[in-house]
Amino acid sequence: MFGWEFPPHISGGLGTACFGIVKGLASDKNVDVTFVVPKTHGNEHSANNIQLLSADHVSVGSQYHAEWNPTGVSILEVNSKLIPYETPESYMEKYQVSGKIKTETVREGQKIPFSGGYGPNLFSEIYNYAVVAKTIATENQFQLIHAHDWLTFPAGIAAKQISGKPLIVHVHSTDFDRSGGSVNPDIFAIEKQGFEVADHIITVSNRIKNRLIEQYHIPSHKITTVYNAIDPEINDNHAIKNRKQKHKIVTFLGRITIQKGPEYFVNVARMVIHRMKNVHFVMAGNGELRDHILELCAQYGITDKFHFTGFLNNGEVTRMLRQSDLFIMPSVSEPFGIVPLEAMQYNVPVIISLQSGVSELIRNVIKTDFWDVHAMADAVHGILMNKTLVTSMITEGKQEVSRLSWNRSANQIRQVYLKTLFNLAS
Amino acid sequence: MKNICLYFQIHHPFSFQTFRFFDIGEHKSYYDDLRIEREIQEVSTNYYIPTNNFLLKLIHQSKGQLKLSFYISGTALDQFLAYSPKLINSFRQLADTGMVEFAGGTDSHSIASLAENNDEFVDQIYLNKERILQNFGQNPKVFVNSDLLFINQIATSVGKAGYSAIFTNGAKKMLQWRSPNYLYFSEVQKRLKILFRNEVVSNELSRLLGDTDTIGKPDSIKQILNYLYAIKPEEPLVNIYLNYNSLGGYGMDNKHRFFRKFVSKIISAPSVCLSLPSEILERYMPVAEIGTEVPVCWKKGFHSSYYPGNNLQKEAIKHLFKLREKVKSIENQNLKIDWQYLQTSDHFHLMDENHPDYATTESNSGIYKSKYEAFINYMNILEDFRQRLKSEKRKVKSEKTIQKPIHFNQVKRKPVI
Repeated sequence: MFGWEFPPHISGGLGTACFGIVKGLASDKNVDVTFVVPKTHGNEHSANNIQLLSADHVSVGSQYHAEWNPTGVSILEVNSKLIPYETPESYMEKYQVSGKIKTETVREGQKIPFSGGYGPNLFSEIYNYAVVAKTIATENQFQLIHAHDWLTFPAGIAAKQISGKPLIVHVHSTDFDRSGGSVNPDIFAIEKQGFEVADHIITVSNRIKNRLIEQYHIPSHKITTVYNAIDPEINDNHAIKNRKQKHKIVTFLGRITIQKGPEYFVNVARMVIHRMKNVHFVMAGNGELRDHILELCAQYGITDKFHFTGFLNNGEVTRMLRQSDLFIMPSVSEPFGIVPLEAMQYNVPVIISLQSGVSELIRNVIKTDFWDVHAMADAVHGILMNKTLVTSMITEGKQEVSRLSWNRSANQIRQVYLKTLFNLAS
Repeated sequence: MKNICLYFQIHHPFSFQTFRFFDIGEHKSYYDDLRIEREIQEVSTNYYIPTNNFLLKLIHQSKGQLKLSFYISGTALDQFLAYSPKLINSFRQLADTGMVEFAGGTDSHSIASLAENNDEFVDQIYLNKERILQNFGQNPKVFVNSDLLFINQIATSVGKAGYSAIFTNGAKKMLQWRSPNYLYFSEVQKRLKILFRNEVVSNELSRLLGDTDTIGKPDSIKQILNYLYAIKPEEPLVNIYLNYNSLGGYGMDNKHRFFRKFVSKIISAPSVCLSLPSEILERYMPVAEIGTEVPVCWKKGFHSSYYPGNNLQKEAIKHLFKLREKVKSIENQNLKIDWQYLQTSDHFHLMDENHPDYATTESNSGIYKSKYEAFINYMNILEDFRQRLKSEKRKVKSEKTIQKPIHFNQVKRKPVI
């Protein structure tokens, strides 16, 4: 399995999802997983991507997860600077300055279609990863290749070419979702190639499935939707909170980018703040639109009740959610969206946009169109004003979430594996 | 002699439009007037008027053999009056034949029977009685609660309001081993008789009428008659209760032909006749007492949690009936009418996703994406209504206080002049 990050070093929902899937699969005795990750973010500074080609395959499973010691999962680490949610542009900004851009993978670099001046390094990283994947594919025994999202597609394809084993690609998002419409043609090409070469495709929601059919012209029989899930929360004694605080807190959590719809959150905040006292809006996370949002707040005159927290780590996210009276995910385009499920686990009522994959899965939330700020503001007002509504949403929502589990998702993935292997054999 | 009673139900709620909390205090209408108007005109031209004309003709042809009764909710009557007055006339013509009886109900298809206090429920019953008398010149004998909802406490209130019979659904849960085809009386209100809808025959008839492909075939009439013949000969009464719109719409001619054949078969049969509920009440004595503390109603796949409902519904109902005293104390007609329409049961059905109405009722589909939105919308409207009540009261008070000094001045001036 090719991924790009693994907890605890994660920067988004993808790491959580990979972790959940691997854990779910590992609980089945019949599945052995070899998980390949690029070098994690924290160790990157010392990393030298020249070593990619001769990367040592270090098993790091026990080191990462003391409390979780699975059998049948080994994690391989590859030195790489890859991090998800990176655009070629931002990648350039970060690493060109550090002067470590020259790689020796000239041979691989020639494969990159648009290598002139447009963030060539991210792409060479991807192809370096693919080269390593070839090595891994020759040195390891396996029946099936599973690649998560476009950064690992070349690696998956390379492994398939070397080994002749079937390739399954797992689509957690497409560039249409990440870019808010302005699609990078290079990424699109890689994605499309991955979808076409793959023997089967797993998408995290029907929304993504339809996107693949419509935008990438992939036949629908090749795609299976397997929804993400969430781990049951064990140590949650916070029943229905003893929130005695006078102020109500409404939270936005995520990268502040076009995809997540922060502007709609600010507009909702403006409408509600002007009509209700004691409401505070918190925008947790960081991103390129933060300054723009800040200016917008100043323009609306709501800076006294609109707060930014900056980037939050895992523990802080939990604390933030626990303190919230309401969680809003106004995403313009969200392939799945795990955070609402977490919020529901922490007894927080949730509003999500209909343009999210998770809205296909859950019922006990309020769903609105991301652009319908009136509906959203109305829902915020309704939830903050009415206790019965809140308790009803919380209790029923929690029940609903407790029925989800990664084991179920992993089981569905296993079915896809079996089907693919069977189809190839026959 | 076996008596067959045919009942038709007509109900149209004043459905709400989207009402945000920004709209509170902005004098925005609660109701989706345009849609209601369109729907009423549609049902009246394609369903009700042609079917009424058909029935009128059939009644004249059958020379006093065909008898029917209607339950028309107060909200539906209001809508007909506003958007299709012809329809009211058409129903009056039916009433004038003397072969058609109108049953009473709560005036706005209200959920008042679920309120803690039964005052509003009783008020509603009297209001509706008056209206039936005004519109159709009849004093209703049989009470039909919204959705045929029944529990013992309802029987008590209905008896107090002067009805001699109540109609409810012949649910297995309540009847148990008993047959729905007898007249019963309530265990808590001995004077009140209970009529039961025969579920099997009613459902079968409405299924046949809904199936436009096979309705024209001769087999279908046999099927329904077989159901009737299967009933034991000693059982005196079969109540068939349907939605009136099942006789209209697509394939209407076939449906009418089917219904005509059905009626003529019954009339020509030796030991069967069509009767009015009031005739039944005079002719037969109740056989036994019956009652239930578990709500019974007329809904497919009925679940006992529909009444008294989930937490959201209970909360909304509680907040609604808190306002009763205030409404009583004012004279403003607009507010009184809104108070009626706010009680209609359909609004509350939308707060439960498991309720069959939630997905099936065409006019409701697509307004709310979840029960929570239905609840928020309702509470916004209720809040607006509450504020209007408040300002109305303040207005009334200030008018009184203004009057006093004027009077005082006049008194004072007089000696000067």
